[in-house]
Amino acid sequence: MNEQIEKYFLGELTAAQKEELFMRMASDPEAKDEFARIQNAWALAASSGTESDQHKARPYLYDFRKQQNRKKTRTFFIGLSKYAAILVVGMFIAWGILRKLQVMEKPTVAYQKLTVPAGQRAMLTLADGTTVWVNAKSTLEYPGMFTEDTREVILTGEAYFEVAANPAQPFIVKSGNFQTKVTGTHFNIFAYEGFFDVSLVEGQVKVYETGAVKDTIVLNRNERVSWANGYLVKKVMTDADDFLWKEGIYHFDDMPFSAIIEKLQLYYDVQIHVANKALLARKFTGKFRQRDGIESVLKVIQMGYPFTYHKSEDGSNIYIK
Amino acid sequence: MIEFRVTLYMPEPIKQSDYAFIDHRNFEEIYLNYFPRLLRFAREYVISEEDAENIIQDVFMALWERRDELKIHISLVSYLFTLIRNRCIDHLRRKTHAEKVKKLLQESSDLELQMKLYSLEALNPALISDSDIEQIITRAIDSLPVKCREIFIRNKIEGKK
Repeated sequence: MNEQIEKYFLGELTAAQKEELFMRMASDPEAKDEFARIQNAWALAASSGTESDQHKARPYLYDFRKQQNRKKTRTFFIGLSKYAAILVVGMFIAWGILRKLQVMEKPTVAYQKLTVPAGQRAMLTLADGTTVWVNAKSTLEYPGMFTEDTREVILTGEAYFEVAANPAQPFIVKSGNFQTKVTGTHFNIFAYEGFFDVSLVEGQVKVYETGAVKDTIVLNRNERVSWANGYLVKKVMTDADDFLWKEGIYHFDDMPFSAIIEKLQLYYDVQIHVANKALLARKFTGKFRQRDGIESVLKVIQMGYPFTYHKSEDGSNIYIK
Repeated sequence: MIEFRVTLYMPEPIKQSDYAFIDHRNFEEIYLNYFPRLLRFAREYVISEEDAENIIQDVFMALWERRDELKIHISLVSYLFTLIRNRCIDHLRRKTHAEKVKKLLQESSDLELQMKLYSLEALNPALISDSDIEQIITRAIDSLPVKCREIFIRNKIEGKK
C-alpha cells in the first residue's frame, strides 16, 4: 500500500490505479494517515523557494494590481454613491417642496379673482380674448395666462361668456359641481348658490357634473339646461332678453313675482319676505336698470299690484305686505 | 543529505522585524518572493491550477486589506501558510460536497479530493505557524520517502535549468 502511495506522488499511477488506491485507503486509517503525512511533506517541499520564483510571480502581481484597482474604483464609487444618494434624496425633497409651493401658489399667483358686489356688474376680457360679463354678487376666478391644455375659469354667480374660438384648448367653466365645456361660443351661466343653469346663445356647449363626464349633456343653439331636483333638465330657450343684464338691464318677461324676488335677492343681496301669498303667483313683465336699484323695481311693480314694503335698518331685509 | 540541501535555492531568510508593518514596498517584495511558492503548495491540495491561483490571490488581497490591523507576532510567511490551509480546506469541503451532489461518475476524483482534505486537516497549524518556515520545509523534504525525495530534487534541479 505504501508503495502505491509513493507511486501516486511520483506520478506513476494510472487513473484506474489511483481509484483503486483511494478505495482501499478509505477503509484503512493507517494508510490514510501515511498518505496525509507524505502529502503534507510533499506540499511543503513543493513550496520551497526557487531562483525563478520572482520571475514567475510578475504576471500574477500584474493581475493582482488590476484586481486591486478594480476594488479601489468600486470602493470609490460606493463611497461616492453615498453622497450621490444624499444628493438625490435632497433633490427629491426640494422638488417635493417646490411642487407643494406651486400647488399652493396656483390660486393666488396664477389665478386672479374678480368679485362683483350686489347691484353691480363687470365686464372683462381674458388673456385669450374671451369676453366675460359678470353679474352682481358673483365671482370669477381666471388665470392671467392660459398655459394649460384647457382654459379653466371658476364661476360663482352669473356670467355671460363670449368665448374666443380655440378648438385645441377647450374653455371650461367650473361652477360648483358642474362644468361647462366649450371651444368657442356665446352662453350664459347662472350659478348662484343652489342654482345652476346654462343658456346657449351661439355654438355648442357640453355640460356635465364633475367626475361624470359620461353623463354629458350637449346644448345646441337656444337651448338651456337647468339643475332641478337633482337632475339636469334640458329645455328650449324662449327669451334671449334674459341676457340683457350684461347691458345693465334686468328683464322679466311674464315672470311670477316669486321668481322675480328670487333674482332680486341674488342680484342685490337682500332678503325679501313676502306676506301676501297671492302676490307671489302674480306674473309681471318689465325691464329695469340695474343701477336704479332694487327699490325702483319694487316701485314699478307696485304700480301694477298694490303692496307696501319696508326695509330693515341695515337694508338687508325687505318686508312686503 | 546535507549536500543536496545546499544545492537547494534558499531565499534570504526573512526576519520578523522586516515585516512589523506592511507598506507598498515590502508588500511587493513579499508577493514576488512567495506567490509561486504558495501556489505550488496550494496546488498540491486543490489540484486545479486555476482554483489554486484564485486562492493565493485572495490570500494576498486579504493580507493587503488587513495590513493595518495585522500585528504580526508570528512569521508573516507562516501566517500566509495558515490562511492558505484554511482557505483550501473551505474550498475542498465545498468541492467534495458539490461532487457528491452532482453524483457524477468521477468517483476517484471525489475520493482523491476527500483524501486531500483529510491531509490538510491533519496538517498541524502549529507546525506551519512556526516562525522559521524554511526550516520546516527542509525538514519536510527530509521526511519524504526516498524515491519521492529523489524525484523531487531531480525535478527541482531540472526546473532550474
